[in-house]
Amino acid sequence: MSSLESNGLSAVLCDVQHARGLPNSHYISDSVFEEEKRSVLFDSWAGIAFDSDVPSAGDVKPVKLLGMPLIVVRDHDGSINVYQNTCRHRGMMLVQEPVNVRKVVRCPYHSWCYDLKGELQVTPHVGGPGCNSHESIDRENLGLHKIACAVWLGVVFVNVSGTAEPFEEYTADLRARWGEFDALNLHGDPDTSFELTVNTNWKLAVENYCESYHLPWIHPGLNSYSRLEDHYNIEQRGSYSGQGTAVYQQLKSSKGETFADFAGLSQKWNTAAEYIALYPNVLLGVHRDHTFAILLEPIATNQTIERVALFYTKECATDLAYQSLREKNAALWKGVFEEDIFVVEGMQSGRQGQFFDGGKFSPVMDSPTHNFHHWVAKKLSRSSGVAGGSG
Amino acid sequence: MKTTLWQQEHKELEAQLLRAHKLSESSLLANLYTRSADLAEQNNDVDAACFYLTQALIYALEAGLADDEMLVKRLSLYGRI
Repeated sequence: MSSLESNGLSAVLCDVQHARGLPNSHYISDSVFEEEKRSVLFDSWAGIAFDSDVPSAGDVKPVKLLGMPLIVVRDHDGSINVYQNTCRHRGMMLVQEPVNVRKVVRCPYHSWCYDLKGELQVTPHVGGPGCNSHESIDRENLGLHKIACAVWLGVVFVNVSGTAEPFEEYTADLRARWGEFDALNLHGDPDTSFELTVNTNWKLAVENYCESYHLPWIHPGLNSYSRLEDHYNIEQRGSYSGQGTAVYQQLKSSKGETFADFAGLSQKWNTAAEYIALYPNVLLGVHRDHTFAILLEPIATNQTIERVALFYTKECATDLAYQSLREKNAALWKGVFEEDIFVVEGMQSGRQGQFFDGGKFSPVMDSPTHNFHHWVAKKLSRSSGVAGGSG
Repeated sequence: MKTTLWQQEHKELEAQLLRAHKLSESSLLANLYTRSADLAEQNNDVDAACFYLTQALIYALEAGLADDEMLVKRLSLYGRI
């Protein structure tokens, strides 16, 4: 892309009342998808897994981020690390299926072995049969390529390029906003996690999530207890946006029981809940008694997998007494997210219409969405070396 | 190539190794390769012994057995690691 004008990004990098949305090509073009892979997803802190995907020491889970093979590893000291899932010898993919590793990850091709810290431990027969060393093979410098990673609110984030600012800096403002949730010991229930495959560009799922404008039409069930006027916009230029509600009501069982509250939350959270898209691809929700995270996995220009995990206090996540309520809660959220499918898929289809000009934002109702467009446009502009616009 | 007597003796172990490979039994493979190395050492075939010790080491590491240190030590004595 040679200039902001020719690529349509200058119209995005305006104040919301004057801005247009990202051009169609950002939703339907494979070449733009490829560019965004590098400039937006690899260059940022992208969510790739849940920490509950590797619950035990030695657990290794292969994941792909837009084709990039990675492994998420739980070390013996409990820490999580992410490495490129590629042997340093001949480029063989090391791990095909989730596995629990005792001491080493063994490459299935020539059995080069790496420990859980990614360090190369053994190079069998590398100097000939029965000779396991060679002067040209420096094991210390042939460890697995480590990918910058961080874990927060149950999500494993990575920065593939290694050039993003530290995760703590990127999320400083959101962590200040949600500081009370930061220190919580969240527990997931893998049995009630679920996935949805939607035929839409991943960005449309973000854009839909962070605005409340569509709630009365798409989620009419919310109208009775969470009206549009009870919602407020949340925006932080350069990192996140979303919506909050001032009238959250706890889910109840048939016997009137609720989940236990997280300890130490302020009174605000008695009736508040907030839903924020942490750019680029993690959608978060926090409530007094549970949180959730949605990982958006871009599969293709027009297809995305949404992986959803719910988190509670330890007792509520594991006790049989709460199983029915956990299932009810998961079903409720699944129903809400399924209601969004036809609109995100519809927006994807609509962008095949060559005369769609990126659209017009309501300055009052769509500013969280425009905030995301602005962030994407800024990332692409920086990547192409062109100075960004105003707004 | 003339087959040595110990290699003939090794045939039963080879059959067991093939079965263990088919089942991907790392612990068993570590044990069988170690026995193969022992047999080769008893017959002064250092190259064969180091080959089998290497195989045993890899599978011992994969299985998380405690034997890996001993196997590394044996290979070190031959200068092969």
